[in-house]
Amino acid sequence: MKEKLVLVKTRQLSKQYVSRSFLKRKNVEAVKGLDLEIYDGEIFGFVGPNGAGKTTTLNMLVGITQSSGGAIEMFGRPFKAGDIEPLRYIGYVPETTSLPDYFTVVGLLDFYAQLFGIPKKTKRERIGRLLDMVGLFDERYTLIKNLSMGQRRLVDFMQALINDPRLVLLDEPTVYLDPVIMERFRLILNTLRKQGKTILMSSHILPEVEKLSDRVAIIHRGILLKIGPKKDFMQHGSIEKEFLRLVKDIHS
Amino acid sequence: MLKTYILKKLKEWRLVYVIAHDVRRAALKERMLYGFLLLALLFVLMANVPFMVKDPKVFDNQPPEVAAVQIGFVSINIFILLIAIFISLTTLQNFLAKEKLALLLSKPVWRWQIIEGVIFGLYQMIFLNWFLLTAGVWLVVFSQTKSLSLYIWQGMSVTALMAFFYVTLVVFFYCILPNIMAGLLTFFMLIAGFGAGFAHDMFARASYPFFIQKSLILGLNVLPKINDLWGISMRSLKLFRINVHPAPIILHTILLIVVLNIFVSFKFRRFGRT
Repeated sequence: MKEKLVLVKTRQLSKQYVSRSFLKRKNVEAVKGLDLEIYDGEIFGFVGPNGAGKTTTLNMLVGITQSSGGAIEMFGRPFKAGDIEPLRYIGYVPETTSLPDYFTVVGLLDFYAQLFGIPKKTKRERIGRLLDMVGLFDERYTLIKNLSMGQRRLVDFMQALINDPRLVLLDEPTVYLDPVIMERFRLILNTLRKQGKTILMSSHILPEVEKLSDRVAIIHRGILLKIGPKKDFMQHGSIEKEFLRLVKDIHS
Repeated sequence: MLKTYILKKLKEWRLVYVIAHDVRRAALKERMLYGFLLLALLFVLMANVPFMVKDPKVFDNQPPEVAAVQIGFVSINIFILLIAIFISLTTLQNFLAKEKLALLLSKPVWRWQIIEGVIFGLYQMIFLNWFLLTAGVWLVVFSQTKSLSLYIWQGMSVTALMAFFYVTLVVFFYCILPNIMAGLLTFFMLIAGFGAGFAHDMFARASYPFFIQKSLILGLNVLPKINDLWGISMRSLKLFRINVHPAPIILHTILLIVVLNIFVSFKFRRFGRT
């Protein structure tokens, strides 16, 4: 059997924050010894409650946050905060949408395309294709500030896909989405799957993860509780039930 | 080898240009800027008054074009420095907001490119505003005297240099201190720059211990020579005949700008990949 290609690998990845308040200094462990392997071409669901360490992990994977310990391998090579070369092949959708609102949709995509040094012709084609894919072609000259939150989220996806990335990191992608845009989001993800892209999707909305993911990892208070194919999580009927069982076990 | 190196550097600076373009756009969207500009243009248009007043005593018997340039000089200096400090601060706060910066840092961009992009974007914004206001003064004088009066551009260019310096200073303080402190300290530097000449004379005459005296004078020598810069500007504008050598003072200011730029590029930790 052909061995699966590991695209992202973390070994004992950890992150400690120093929480400072008046006369107090406290170490907070956001992520503790995280071991993950994400295979090429899969949709990987990374789930956990709020404050579990999902965003911190994603930020470490994209180099925004420096890890306190452990190692990351990206595309088979060691990766640390400050390495910009692997970022050429990564698309990232942050948890909160924070797009510059003075841009039009096309203007914003053009700006991010320029950061990747994409040639003009390719840029034009790609922007057109992305607008078609997310269904915002008619809003292409609308200012970001005049878009609805759901539409802004779709623009977030487009900026993440402008470099035709090999790996897409989605942090709580379904936040702000109404059912119509949610359906569109599912279609987008399926298109990306067909294109062979690897997707790491963090979320605490478990039914969505259940519908879309190939493999799942559950994280709670910075600790990895379980990782494996989706079917391993369905023994009790749903990921949600398995998740609640694991969390209860930890507390008891 | 050299060609590859130059091409690589050009590519890196192209990204700085892309970010600068975006920052300029963000800065020009600030509503406060248009408030400042409107007020500044009203003041600049007041340069017309000396040509309309019949009694020369009102302006100390100065020729009307000299009085007009004087009004323009004061207006531009006040407003361009206010714009340099306040608009830079608000643009920095908006552009370097945590979430926006996180998105930018997820792209293949070095952090020095981001900070230099911010600085150059603000320089572009300052240049555009300076050009607009100087053109206003020049147009008033040109329309009344029918003379090209190129000395106005030359004299006002010193103000642009000062504004570039204050933009760099705001970014410098913003990178090492909380936001409000950055603005306050820049104002403090502005005032300290005015007093530097007097303080220099005072320290040189006073009987401090040798080491303290030398340190104080060295510290004062590092400060921008605001009084001297204004002197150079006024001399070029034919307002006063002040005996100042422009080259060392202008070079000193440019050197300060370059040193601060290099410093913030290295010290971009507060907004970096922490």
